[in-house]
Amino acid sequence: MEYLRGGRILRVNLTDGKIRCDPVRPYVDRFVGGKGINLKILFDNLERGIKPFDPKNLLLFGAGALVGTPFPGACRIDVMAKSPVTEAFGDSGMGGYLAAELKFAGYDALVIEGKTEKPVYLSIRDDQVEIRDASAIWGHDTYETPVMVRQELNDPAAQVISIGQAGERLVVYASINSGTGNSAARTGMGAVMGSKNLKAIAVRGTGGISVARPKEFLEGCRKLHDSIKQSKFYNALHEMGITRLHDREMRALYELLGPPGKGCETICEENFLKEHLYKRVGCFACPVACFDSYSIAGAGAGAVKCSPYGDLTWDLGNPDLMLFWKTFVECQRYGLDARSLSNALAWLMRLHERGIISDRETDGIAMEWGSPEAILPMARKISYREGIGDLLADGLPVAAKKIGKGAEDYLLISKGSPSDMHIPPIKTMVLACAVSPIGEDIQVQPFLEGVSARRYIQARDPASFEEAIKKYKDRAEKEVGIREAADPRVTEGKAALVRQDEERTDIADLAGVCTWMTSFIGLPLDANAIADFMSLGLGTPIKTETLVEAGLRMHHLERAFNCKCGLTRKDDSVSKGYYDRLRPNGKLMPEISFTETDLEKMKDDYYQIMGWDVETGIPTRRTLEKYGLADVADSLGL
Amino acid sequence: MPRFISVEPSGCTGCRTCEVVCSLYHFGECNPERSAIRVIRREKNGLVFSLPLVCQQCEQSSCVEVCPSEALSRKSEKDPLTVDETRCSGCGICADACPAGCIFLDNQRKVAICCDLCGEQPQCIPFCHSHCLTLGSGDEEDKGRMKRLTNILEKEDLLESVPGRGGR
Repeated sequence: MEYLRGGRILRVNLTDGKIRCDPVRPYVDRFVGGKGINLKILFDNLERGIKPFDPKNLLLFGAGALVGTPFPGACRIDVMAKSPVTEAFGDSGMGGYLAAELKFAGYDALVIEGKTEKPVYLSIRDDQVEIRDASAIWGHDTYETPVMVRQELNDPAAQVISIGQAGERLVVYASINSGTGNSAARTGMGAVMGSKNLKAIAVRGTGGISVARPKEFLEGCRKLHDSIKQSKFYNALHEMGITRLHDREMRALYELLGPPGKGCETICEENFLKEHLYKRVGCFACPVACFDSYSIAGAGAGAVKCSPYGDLTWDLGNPDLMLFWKTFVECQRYGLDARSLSNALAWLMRLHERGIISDRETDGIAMEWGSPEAILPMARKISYREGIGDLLADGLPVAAKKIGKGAEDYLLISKGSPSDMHIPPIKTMVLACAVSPIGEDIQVQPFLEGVSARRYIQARDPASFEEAIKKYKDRAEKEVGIREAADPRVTEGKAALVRQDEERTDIADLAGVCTWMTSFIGLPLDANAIADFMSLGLGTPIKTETLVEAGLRMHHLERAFNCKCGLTRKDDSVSKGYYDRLRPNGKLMPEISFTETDLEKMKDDYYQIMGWDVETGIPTRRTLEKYGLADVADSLGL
Repeated sequence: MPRFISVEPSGCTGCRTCEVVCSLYHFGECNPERSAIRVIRREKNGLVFSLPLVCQQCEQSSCVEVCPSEALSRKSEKDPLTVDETRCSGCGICADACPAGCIFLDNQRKVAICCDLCGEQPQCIPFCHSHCLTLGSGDEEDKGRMKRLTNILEKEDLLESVPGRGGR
């Protein structure tokens, strides 16, 4: 019996219809689960030079090691492929119910390769795996598709994920959606699915996940629930999702970015929620239930959390939350990443403001900040590749080239991937973004510098600033051994802060635990808790250090994958739009912002921490061997 | 009357924690198909409806009445329903007879599964973060409790897709 595991990896080749199962056992010791196992399979099986939409690209779905148990928030599925956005590593994750169902069906991962001639969907019911005709479903959105699939399979309890019109048309910002708010939206995983003519995946499992020490596991989970409920923000989160925190967060971020568009200071997500909330919903085994679901006459229904509220309001100079909701529902239905949409629109608005583009180039629409005419039709235009939407659908770097006239200088991207517009480019965030394998990864957000940067702009004089950040310096010294790490003016210690935060998300990703259960939003789960419960589940002790090491191994392998795609140190960069973007009170504040020299210095530090070659950013053979990845060093020709 | 797990569904987020907790407690594995409480979830138009179904310990139990092998019984009127697994044939007639489909089949062992209140300390209740599940008192008779569940299922047009009836 395989404790905690489904036990198998399901491999489906859509070209020849062959289906086979591999045991998961050879992967678990070194790659644990979820993202770790996905990555090892992708690295070993994807030939060098394969394009993202080549049938030979793999699309992987991996359930984390604790998924299927009542461990709080253990619900994540990692989705991975070579990305049409970065032309290198692509990775996104989603919560919901698919991961647990996949494990109940007896699988820890699902690997899809090849391409069918006609649209199909995949039906997995325990050992019964079928590639089924989806001609009648193709063209439907991600709300309608699951309903149709369940009906056809006559199984209302099947978990279904699908792509919408955007994925069908290979829009590079296409997402894969559950139909009820969960969405693997980053790096174009929906477009890869579309390129395989795969419309949907339905999973139904009737087996179980065995736990070695069930009584202790259960008792321990109950205690974790109690500690989550006692945490400072829990009640607000449970009643209002992220809205109240996010209202504060957006104001704090714009304190650094500079004055927002007209009327944005009136935005109140909490009031919107109080007025319109339909119901709170959440993912498998989650005691928080962070999704706010709405059903608003004339504006649409669905579920949302966190960032999109800000993406489609503050970041576009739009004070109208109803406009946000209408636009977001369209993104959900068409299967389009709302953050990429927001970034693309803000870019067009900036270009319009600077006179680089005119209404003629944007289908007669004046791309003015906050304009409903400029925001509302765009999700459809991009998803259906209509007019200006077609230009944006192949990615912003491609669009910038076509527009020319210096449009590229206004992009806010990293490794080709559109960034979250409301993340202020303070030093840690810029470094985290530059070295991230997928371009900006919002999960990595070191806390210490953000808060001290705000203290800096609020301080009356240097002495009061020193006083204000003393406790953050103390904390930096304790946590990463460098006091100055908490000083937003210097590059010292920033790499260590980034690495510390990456470690948090790495381990959560291996276990399939939502990172929101961690310190990210003030909840108490950490690597120790994950190690303890893996030990109880597996019946053999798993040390926290073992998980930390596995997280690092995964990080080296991500890097190696990108190296195989030709990326080196020079690709660890942010676009020009990042520079001089920090404008507290409307004025530049270079000392808490960053320069190219700062970024290069921080990259040196980061590569040294990681054991990567400082010249090239490529992991050294010595480092790879230390983590048992000599074969990887061989394949990189080191 | 016996105690029972009272269901107040308006806050249910559909997380299914109760299902895995139940099977983990009773069988040492996380398996919703071996749980005595099952969350019926329906996703439609971007919205989720969810409702936990669990034995309401009815005084006049249609499941007991229809069981052809007399496998379902109560020790006393204060005790929860129990399944005599030596008698149960796994025919599933009880699941069809329950107005809200609150008794289930363990397909591995081919026997009925019914809430046994975990010996007076139901494990699912402390895990239910949205307070849908509480321990209903045995002191006061609440004759409408099963009807409330069936009314909800009827209103949502889900009576035919409850777990015992092909929904799962």
